[in-house]
Amino acid sequence: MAPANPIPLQRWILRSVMPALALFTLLAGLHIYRSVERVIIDGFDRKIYAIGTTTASFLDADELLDVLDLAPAVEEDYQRTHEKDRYEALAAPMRAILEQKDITYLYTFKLGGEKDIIYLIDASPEEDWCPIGYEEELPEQNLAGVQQSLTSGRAFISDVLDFDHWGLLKVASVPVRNSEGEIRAFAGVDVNIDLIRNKTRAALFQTFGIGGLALLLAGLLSLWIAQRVTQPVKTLKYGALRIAAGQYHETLDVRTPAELGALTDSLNHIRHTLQKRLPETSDQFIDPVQQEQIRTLLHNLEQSETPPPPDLPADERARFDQLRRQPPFNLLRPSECRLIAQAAQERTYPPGHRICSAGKLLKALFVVAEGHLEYADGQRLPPVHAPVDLLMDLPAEQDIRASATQGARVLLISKSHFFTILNECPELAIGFSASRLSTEAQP
Amino acid sequence: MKLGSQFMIAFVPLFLGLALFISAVMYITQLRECRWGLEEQASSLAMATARYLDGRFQPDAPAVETTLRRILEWESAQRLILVDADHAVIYDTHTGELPPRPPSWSAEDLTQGYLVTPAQRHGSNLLMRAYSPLQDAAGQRYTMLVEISATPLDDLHRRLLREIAIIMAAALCIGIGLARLLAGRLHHSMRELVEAARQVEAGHYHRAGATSHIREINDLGDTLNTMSSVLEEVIGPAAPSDHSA
Repeated sequence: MAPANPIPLQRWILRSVMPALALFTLLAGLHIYRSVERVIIDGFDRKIYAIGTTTASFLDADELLDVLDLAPAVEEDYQRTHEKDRYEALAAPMRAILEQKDITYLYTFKLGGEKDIIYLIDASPEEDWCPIGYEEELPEQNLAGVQQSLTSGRAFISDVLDFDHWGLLKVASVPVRNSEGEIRAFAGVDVNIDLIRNKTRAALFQTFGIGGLALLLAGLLSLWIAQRVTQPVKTLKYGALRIAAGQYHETLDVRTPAELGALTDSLNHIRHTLQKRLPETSDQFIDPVQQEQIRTLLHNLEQSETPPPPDLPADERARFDQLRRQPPFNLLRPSECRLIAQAAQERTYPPGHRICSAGKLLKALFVVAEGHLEYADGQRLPPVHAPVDLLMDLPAEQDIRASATQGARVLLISKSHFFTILNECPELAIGFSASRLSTEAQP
Repeated sequence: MKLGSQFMIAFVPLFLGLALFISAVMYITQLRECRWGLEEQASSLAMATARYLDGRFQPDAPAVETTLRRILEWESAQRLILVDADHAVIYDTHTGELPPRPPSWSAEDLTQGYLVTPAQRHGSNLLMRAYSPLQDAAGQRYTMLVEISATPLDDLHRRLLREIAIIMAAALCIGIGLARLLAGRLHHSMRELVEAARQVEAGHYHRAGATSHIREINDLGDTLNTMSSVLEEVIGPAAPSDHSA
């Protein structure tokens, strides 16, 4: 029993390949993102470490602590504090570094006070500036790191920490010694997480942008691969259809993939056997009832493949319906029929109107929708006229005109479109030849 | 060519290509960011040193050399050199060949207060240099030159090559695995089709063709069924083929 909803081979391949491609790209992308983030953070660490250690090397802890004496006089006022030479001499180079190196804060502090630290010099602009003696609590991890730094004499670089007042920061705290080598103060360098995030985000967009592009290219490639695999199966299918329609003259030559080679051999053998038996069975075979049976079977087979296309415009829908009613177009898939309906032009001819003169070549296939076409002598033409004449470039035997009584409404399919359609839909050729056999079989 | 080989030829290069593309992105991005970090390190050292000395140092004061040596103790810089406008050494924390003059300063370099040169190999060392202009208390021009080790670039390069090898190997495994899986499943469906065709070939028209969850294979199976039904009616049930005979 056939599965309820078989899926096209292309989609089956894509369904298998695309998730693998996407997962691979995603995992690789995540790995790249994490690695790049680590490298970027490492770069910020190098930067704040370099600035912090240079600052600590140039400063004297006792000189820094002396600025605490200025606190009562300047009363936490930015201008008055910076007017003090002792403060400004220390703050000016720090301010220049802060401005030129794109860091968030550069300052000095000491441990102690009622909270965790006491600010000494702060290079921040006025809106973020901490006055001399300003006390602050530190996040636990940061305080532990600074205390560790006090005993080890090494610089401390924190992870990204959440400071109540300042937001998410990455902090370097470097011990500052006095002339006796005692650690009595610290130089602090902070970088806001936004700076890190902006840089990481840019890397993320680049990585995933390029990853997406790679995925798209890989998807297109796998589509192409799927098409290559699908083609031989289609060729065999049409080969089997031709055999079913009584066309034994064309040898099938599908050798790739090798698995289909055995199937090709079997079909060719069947074709060969039938070709030899044809003289015995031909009379039976061209029986119109048999032909109708073939057409019905093929039609049912094709009908089962695809649902009718939705949302057709009204005029196109009319042409589509007309074609679907008309053998051998009824053998086509709805999607194929729709393409032909799009290419077809509708013409209405008054009674007796001459459409093509005798001896002239036809420029289009005529599919009669209403009325009929006839020769000048009154001989009625078939509703689809004249595929063989078009194929063989045969001129019209007589004048072709619309019915002298009813006129005719026809769909015109230009010669070039007709050739393309035959190439794309070989079952039409089978249908046309079956119709011809049937017509010739009639007495 | 068998289906497995066909899929292998198609999917393995596809995954390897994707892996190569991703690896290239990873390699370029990480090395670029690592280079940026080292440039920031070198420029921060040169610029911060220059700003602390700028306009306030005496060329003959020993405190300057003491401070520069103190910076070295933090192991961030490898060498610090103060040169005058004629590129004559005022202070150098190491002896040895003097690095070249700073490249000519562009307006942008002067605005940002430093200039960094690309990493260059000197013997076994990979070095990066940063220059920053400054003046002494008398207004004479000098340049602060800092050398740092850029070996993290080499370390990263080695690590990235290892990671790329792993990514390529993973891509190879996925490509081969997927190709074998798909080929195996298609092969199974096609084998049923071949069997059905052989039945028809042997004259057993009443046997049902293969079915599959793949439309084209299923269609081909249906077509074989259609063909065998038609042949059964046209030729008759007792029609053993030459092949079976």
